[in-house]
Amino acid sequence: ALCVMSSAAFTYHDYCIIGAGPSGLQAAYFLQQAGRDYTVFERSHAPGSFFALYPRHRKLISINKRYTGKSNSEFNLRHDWNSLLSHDRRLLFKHYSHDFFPDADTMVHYLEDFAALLKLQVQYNTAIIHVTLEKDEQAWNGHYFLLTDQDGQNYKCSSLLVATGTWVPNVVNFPGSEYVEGYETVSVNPEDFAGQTVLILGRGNSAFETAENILGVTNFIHMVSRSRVRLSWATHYVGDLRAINNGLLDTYQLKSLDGLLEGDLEDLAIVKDKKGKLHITLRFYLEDRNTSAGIDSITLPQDELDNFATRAPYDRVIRCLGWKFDFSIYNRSLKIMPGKGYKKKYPQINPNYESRSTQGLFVLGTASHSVDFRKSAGGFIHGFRYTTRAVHRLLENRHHGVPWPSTVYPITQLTNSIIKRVNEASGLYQMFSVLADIILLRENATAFEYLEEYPVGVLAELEMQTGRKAPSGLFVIIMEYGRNFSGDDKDVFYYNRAVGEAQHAWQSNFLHPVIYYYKRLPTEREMKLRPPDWPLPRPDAIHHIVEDFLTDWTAPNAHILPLRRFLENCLSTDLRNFFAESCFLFTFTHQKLPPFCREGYARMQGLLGSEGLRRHAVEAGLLEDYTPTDLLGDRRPANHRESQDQLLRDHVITVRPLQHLVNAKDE
Amino acid sequence: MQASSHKGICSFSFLLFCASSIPTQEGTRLLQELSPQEYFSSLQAGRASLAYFSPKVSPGAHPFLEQIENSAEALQDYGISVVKVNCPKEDISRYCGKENALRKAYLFRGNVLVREFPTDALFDVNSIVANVLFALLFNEVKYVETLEDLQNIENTLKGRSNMVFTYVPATGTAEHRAVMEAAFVYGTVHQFVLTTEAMLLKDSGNDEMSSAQMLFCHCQLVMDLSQPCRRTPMRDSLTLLNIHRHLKLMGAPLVTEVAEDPEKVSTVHLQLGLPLVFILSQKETYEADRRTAEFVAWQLLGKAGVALLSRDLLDLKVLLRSNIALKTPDEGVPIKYLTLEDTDEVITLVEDKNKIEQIQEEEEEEEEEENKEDNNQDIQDDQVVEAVSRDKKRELPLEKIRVLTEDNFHSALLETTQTVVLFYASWEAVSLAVLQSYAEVADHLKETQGLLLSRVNCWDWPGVCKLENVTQFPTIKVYQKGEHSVVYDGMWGTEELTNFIILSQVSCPLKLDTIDEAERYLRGEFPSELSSYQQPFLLGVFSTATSKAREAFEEAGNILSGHVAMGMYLEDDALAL
Repeated sequence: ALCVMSSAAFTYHDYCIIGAGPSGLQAAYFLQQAGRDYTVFERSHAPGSFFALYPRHRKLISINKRYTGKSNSEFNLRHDWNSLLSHDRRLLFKHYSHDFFPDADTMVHYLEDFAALLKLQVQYNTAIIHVTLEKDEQAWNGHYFLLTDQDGQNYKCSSLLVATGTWVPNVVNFPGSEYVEGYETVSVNPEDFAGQTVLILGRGNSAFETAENILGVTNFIHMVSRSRVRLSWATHYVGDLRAINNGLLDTYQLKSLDGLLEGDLEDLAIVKDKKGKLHITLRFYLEDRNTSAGIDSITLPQDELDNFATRAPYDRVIRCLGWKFDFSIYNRSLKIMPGKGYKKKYPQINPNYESRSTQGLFVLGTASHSVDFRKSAGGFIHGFRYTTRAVHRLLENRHHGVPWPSTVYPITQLTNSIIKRVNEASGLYQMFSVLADIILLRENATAFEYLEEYPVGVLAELEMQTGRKAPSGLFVIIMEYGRNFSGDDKDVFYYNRAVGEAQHAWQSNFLHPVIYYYKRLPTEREMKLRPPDWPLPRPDAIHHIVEDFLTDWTAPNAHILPLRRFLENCLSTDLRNFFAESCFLFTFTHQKLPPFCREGYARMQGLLGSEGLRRHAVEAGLLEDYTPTDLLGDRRPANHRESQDQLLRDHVITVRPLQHLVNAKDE
Repeated sequence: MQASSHKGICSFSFLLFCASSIPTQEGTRLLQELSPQEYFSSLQAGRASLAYFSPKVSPGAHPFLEQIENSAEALQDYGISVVKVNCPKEDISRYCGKENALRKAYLFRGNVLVREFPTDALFDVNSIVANVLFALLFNEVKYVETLEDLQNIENTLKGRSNMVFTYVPATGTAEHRAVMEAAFVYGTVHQFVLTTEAMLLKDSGNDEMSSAQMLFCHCQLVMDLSQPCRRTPMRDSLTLLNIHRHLKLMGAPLVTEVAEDPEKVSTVHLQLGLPLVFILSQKETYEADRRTAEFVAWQLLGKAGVALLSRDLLDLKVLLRSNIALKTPDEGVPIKYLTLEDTDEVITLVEDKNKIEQIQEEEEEEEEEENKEDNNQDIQDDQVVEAVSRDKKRELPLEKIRVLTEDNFHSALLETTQTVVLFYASWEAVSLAVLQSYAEVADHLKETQGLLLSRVNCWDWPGVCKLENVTQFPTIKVYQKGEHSVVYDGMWGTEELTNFIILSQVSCPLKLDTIDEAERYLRGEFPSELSSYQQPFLLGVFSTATSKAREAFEEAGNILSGHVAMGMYLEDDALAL
């Protein structure tokens, strides 16, 4: 709709998305499916402009696992780190590339297809250069967002979804930083580095990727950074150094001339000598000194310490320090602030991905990674495709009265519904400790409502955010690594690192499902006061499903049985299955009907079971054996009374009582 | 607070030390015999003395003299000297001269006469000590006769200091002496109030009026004048030691916060032979635990101490569910950790010592039970799951059941007139139990034309199951020509399922066109699909006029579809049947 205001014309949309990268397109898909009024603004002529440039060496490090041995499409997404979510089976990345680590061009091609096949509303060649607010009490959030593009075109939106990623290169300024080449422009042709000595600033994947490319042709490479190397396999964080890029670690530790150093780049200075070689010195030596006086007058560290590590001169210095969010386009009234400390490259947002200062502005994709930076996968496609869906569900509830999708089940399906989800759900698996399934119990625990992949950070606001009620307690299903397992200094290969026995499940180290039970919804205060590194506050009871080598949690005795007992303890109910025969007996004795019989047998849907199965149950001592009854007819009448008595005694089936104590020992 | 209570103990033991050691130092004879001149010149300012003036040994005063002599030792402890002044015959001064004066004893502080006592008020050591101290501690121990006086004193003390209110049936008794002796030590700390009026006690809600009674009134805490002071009666008899103990306990902090090993904790209560109750707290529940502790502490005041033990600050090797610990003053008895439901249990725990053992036994039993159950925890007690897993190595004869996938599901439905689909999860026990029955059904119906029995494993193909609205396992749906579908809602048994499938093949009710058809229908020969169906057949016969009844019959047929065989004949010759 084109409207004319007093001064400027503008186009209005309910939702505006800035950026047609993976998260922008993902958000567009959900809005399109819901039939909402939206548009995506993309500064480039095609989607995924970041991937058109980066990574410079064109190899994506997100895995494209085409085979898992399973046909379950939801499960397979656990090992597909590149596809976006959609109903279209053609739009799976495995159809686009055969490479385990695909080429970045394939991603661009994929995103083009995603936008085109799903007919998403994307306005290309539109760079939003300014965002400001217009107060209006009628607006959803008390204000509209006014966007201006490079041609001075104005757009007005009720809700703004920022999916711009992080693309502004991080730079450091020190004396001599003009001699430093940036990752953005450095040559990717190894021939250009032949016989050179190279210093790389930074220690992320881009630094190692750059090193990997030239490792074979350089004299040696040194890599300097403030922090020590964080190995992805030790931290269980995919943003840390991945094994695919770690060739330099090999050559460093095997003394093949390459090396890693720790030091603060702010203290650094680079001096160029007459031959064009670059010398490392310290900013400290350069103070009160005229640098133009030439290298001879400048103190180098080796003048005082003749075995100084980086005393050899370099031919090139390359900066690979990563990127940050573009804060520049937002008017000050939006108060878009950078995060604190190591999260300063991201804008500050709440756990529901809404800006801390501006209601109605949601940050999606890589830029939203402050919620789970260095923890989970929210900064990567395989993580933010789920958080984007969560944001869309929150918006549907907030602005369109569509509550969070849920399914209501009878309580007999409780164990099953959890087992099903922990075995196949990809959102829980990728966004571990961030997204959780929520089971809202109905009164008297006869039924429950199942909500998928809700952001646990806003658990306290669940009723308001989802439009669902939590009157009688809830379970939260989440996946976690062991508390002290991950870390850059941790040995993740130590003996007995894996837990096998169900009773030691709470000590599980590898990713495993954890179920929290709350008698009532935790309050915001409790959320705030939760122990550090805990995704949730102290529950009334907690259960760990023991980690599994195959991540297959369907073993009847090791996985399902302990889970069932936990649920039974929490709800003081019997969640066992029974054959119709047992239900029949329960009905005619004083015993209260277990839910399975109540839901099934009592409604003429009992489980008769084949003869073979019933025999197995009898052999296990779990079902009474009635076969002698038929033989009684052949006996002599004299014995009749006696045997009837015997029969009556036999008929008292022993159903072991369940332990109805909440067992907090799991903690 | 620990430090101050230690100080209290020290001063008390010092007092006892004085009381026991001074007489031996001074020798056996404590009663001085002086002349009036000697006596009056010896009087020191601030020092109290009790004097008895005696002309000669008068026979009548002899028993009194004996008592006063005996009391000398006791009064010595309070710095009061006892003097027998021998009046010379010719002395007619104030004390010696008067005949009357000789029947009295005089209490001086310095050279000021404080009080004169008739000798019959000083009938024994108790009465002497009681009365002498009573006179000296005039300000420390207020005597009240009316409720109003008591109330006034109480009001002035609110927010400032605590009050020790004592009722004694009469002055000069052993109890009175004990109170006075206590007042000598504590008079500066608490305000003592004494009465001989039982009325005053009655009003404070105590029924026992016959014996002496001491109430500790916690007035210091009361900030609001309209509020009464909380009172803690002393349960033991009024002896100096008991009073001391009581006051010591009242002075101790209500709840002690502890952050060290409870085995090492020692408080006034333990030193005085009372148990100490620990409320185990954690950071999250601190506020509530603190309130509980205070509540319990008020209830147990004078009977036991209450301490709040923070679990977060030390690594307790006890069960997390334990919320109470009990430490008894007996040496070498380990601390008992218990799980109690409410505060009443805590109180009975202390008041009824037998209870402890009882609870502990229960707990031990519970633990044993738990241990037993722990051993049972990994034993499968679900008959269906156990039966299925015992059967898992047997291969089911499933070759007659077609496996459907995401790719062939929709095309398969179109291939036959009727398709039965079992939606199941391969890891789920009930599904697998039903799958066995389903295999038997397939065997029964293998000859049936136009019928496809199939299954979808939702663990492999969650998309299909979701699209088909299958939320529970197992679910059986019968599809007619790929479009219209019915969910099976009967018993999960071979026979029931077979009948349902057979009946689903024909419409319900089935319209019969000729009498011949109707008769063959009743014989079970028509339609051929029902030839293997063993249950009764139902036939509705309608004339064209009875359209309402026919509609009802048809409606019933729709509902009972799959459960009952229903036929319908409505031709003109219906009456011929």
